[in-house]
Amino acid sequence: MAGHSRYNVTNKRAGIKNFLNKIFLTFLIFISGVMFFTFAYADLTSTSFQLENPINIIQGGESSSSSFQYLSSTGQLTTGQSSSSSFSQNVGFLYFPTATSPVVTATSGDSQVSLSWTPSTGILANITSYELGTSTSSGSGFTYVSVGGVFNTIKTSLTNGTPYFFKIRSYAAGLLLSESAEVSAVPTSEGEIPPPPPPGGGGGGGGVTPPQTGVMFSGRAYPLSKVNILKDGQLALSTISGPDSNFTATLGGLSSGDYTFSVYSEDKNGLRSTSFVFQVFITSGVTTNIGGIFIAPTIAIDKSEVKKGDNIAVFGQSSPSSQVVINVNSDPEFFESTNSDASGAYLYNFDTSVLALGRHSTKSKALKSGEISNFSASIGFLVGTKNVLAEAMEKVSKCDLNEDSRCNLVDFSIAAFWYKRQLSQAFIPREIKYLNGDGKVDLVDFSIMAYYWTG
Amino acid sequence: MKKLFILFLLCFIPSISFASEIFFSTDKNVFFQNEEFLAQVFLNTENITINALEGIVAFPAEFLELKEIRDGNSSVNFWIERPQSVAKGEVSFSGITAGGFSGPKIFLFGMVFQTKKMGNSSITFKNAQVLQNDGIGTKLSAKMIPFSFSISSKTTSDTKSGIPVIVDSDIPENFSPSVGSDPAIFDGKYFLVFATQDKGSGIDHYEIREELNSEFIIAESPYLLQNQKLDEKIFVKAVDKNGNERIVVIYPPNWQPWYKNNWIFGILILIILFVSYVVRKFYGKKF
Repeated sequence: MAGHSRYNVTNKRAGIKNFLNKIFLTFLIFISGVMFFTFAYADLTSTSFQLENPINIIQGGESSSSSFQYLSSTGQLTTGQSSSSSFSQNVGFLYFPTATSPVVTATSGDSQVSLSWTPSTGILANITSYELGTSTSSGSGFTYVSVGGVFNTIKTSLTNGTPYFFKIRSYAAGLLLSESAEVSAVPTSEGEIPPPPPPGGGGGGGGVTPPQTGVMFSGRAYPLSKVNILKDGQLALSTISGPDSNFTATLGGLSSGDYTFSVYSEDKNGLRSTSFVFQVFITSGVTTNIGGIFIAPTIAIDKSEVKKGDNIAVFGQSSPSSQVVINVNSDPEFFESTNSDASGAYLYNFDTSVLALGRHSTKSKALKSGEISNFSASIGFLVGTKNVLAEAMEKVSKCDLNEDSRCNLVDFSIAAFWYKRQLSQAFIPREIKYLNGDGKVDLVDFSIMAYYWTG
Repeated sequence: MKKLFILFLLCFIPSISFASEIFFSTDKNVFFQNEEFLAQVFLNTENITINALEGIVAFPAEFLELKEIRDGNSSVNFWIERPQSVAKGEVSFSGITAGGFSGPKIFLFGMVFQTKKMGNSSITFKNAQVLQNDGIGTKLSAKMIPFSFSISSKTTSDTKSGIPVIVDSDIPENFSPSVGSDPAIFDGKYFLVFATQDKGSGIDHYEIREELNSEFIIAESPYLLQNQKLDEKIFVKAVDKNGNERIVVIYPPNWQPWYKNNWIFGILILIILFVSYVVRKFYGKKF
């Protein structure tokens, strides 16, 4: 009896093991099947139309013809947004991926030009590769070559003394999302004085005098606005943009080495833009051209709290006659579009009926002549039961320990004085107002300063 | 089946992901005794913009002697604590870069070591922190990759063969010191702040001269100004490790050019009146 019982137990264990094995193998077969169906099917193409990943249930794709563009999406029956802490999905024809335009740096060499660019930031997309466009004419005749997912390349076999123009295009899985402004350079053999810069495109090096080690910046800000350029965190030069918002500035007297440049502007109301920051290696004896800097719009709102259903005005300044996309970060996200006027000012009245009660935020970016700026700073507001007018925006909301409307080395030194020390009673209120308010000065406070830095 | 199950589990156990990597770079990892080598510290930001970092480099003092720290051409704009030996076998550092940086191999600083006795050991990081450039100082996980090395029993006479020679004839970068005051420090007295970079050998020290005829004295930022009236030009000299110098002049708020100085005008008027008086007295009858 006991033996029979043992036999039954053993038999039962074997049965359970066999059952688990079957479940496990079924699971493996299922996973393999999903992977097979995900990756095995080929794209459908014709002479005028291409449909990628036709039954792909995991990832989307892009198809286009001369008059049609199709962005395939993952399997979800209704439009809307699904999200988790590490994943978000936008479904349907409501959303179109975009990307910021790269800022391109061109440095002349002997029969070559070294090019580098800032990473293009995809919005609803991940940038996977770039193309380099080359032309000997400004604004036309570009021949594009894929360079992969890198941020620099060297264009060789060029003719010394000939002006060349370059552009960078960014792609997300084969979909063209943004293009830089053109930047020019004139390859020059060592010791040779380069010819005058070509017309347009931000210049191409020296002139009649030998080039100095320096940088020429060009881009868009706001009409007649002050543009500040920081070199390694210190204000190096300021210039005023033209009525068309374009600016150029040259910074000389540099050494050969790695530099961090920050560019920001101030609008007609004194509001500061976010800083556009990039690292560049400067070559001795050469003027490096950095083109296509597109300063993000400034942004403000008329209410800090808005009664649900009322409008909230989102406004600011950008380049004149540009398309301004306003993003309201909610669940789901909203993207609205308006145009700036001749002075660069824009205004959009957002109907808050579609927003849930609670905290939201908004930011904006600008599109002009195929170039796309970064997003502006993000401003928070509350959708509630009453309207509360927003206070005038402070020029520098954080970091300004000595309250001079700037965030610079003086503030850094004041913070450094209290670094890892017990704060005095007099300093605590300022730490709360201008730093992270935890009653001490540590690396987090310096990180906040570095973010709000104005030089 | 059990092995297959474990393999299956391993495939699905989430691996620890790091938002950045801090690592060393050297030209080799096997050295002779008494040989010098350069260990450079780099950061891989993994496509995230970083604006603040700190940490400690720990090295085995029984195997290595720290000879020099090189921070020329560092991507760190402002050091809160310049890389320096704070304890036996430790180099601490902390700094920020305005606006942040990102890249796979961001240079922070380098250290020249001289090997001592034979053996195997490693240089490691301790307490490394990197913070995101997001306005709130979000702390990111940093993978600290050590550098393992071996020191052989042989002794080399060419001790510095592996150390790149810095050719630096450029003066330090131009900079703009600022005068500030704050009730929280120096009892509210005026102080001077300054910082610059040298892309070649790195900044060695600063010197200050507050009056035209005084001597330059070695100083650090923030520097408590002796002349609290702020009416004299201030000269700040940045000296790099190759001895190249840049001097910048600061004109404090109360400084005035000589032609705007009322005292000088008063003295000039007195001189003119005196000369007129003398001329009239002695030559007046003739004219």
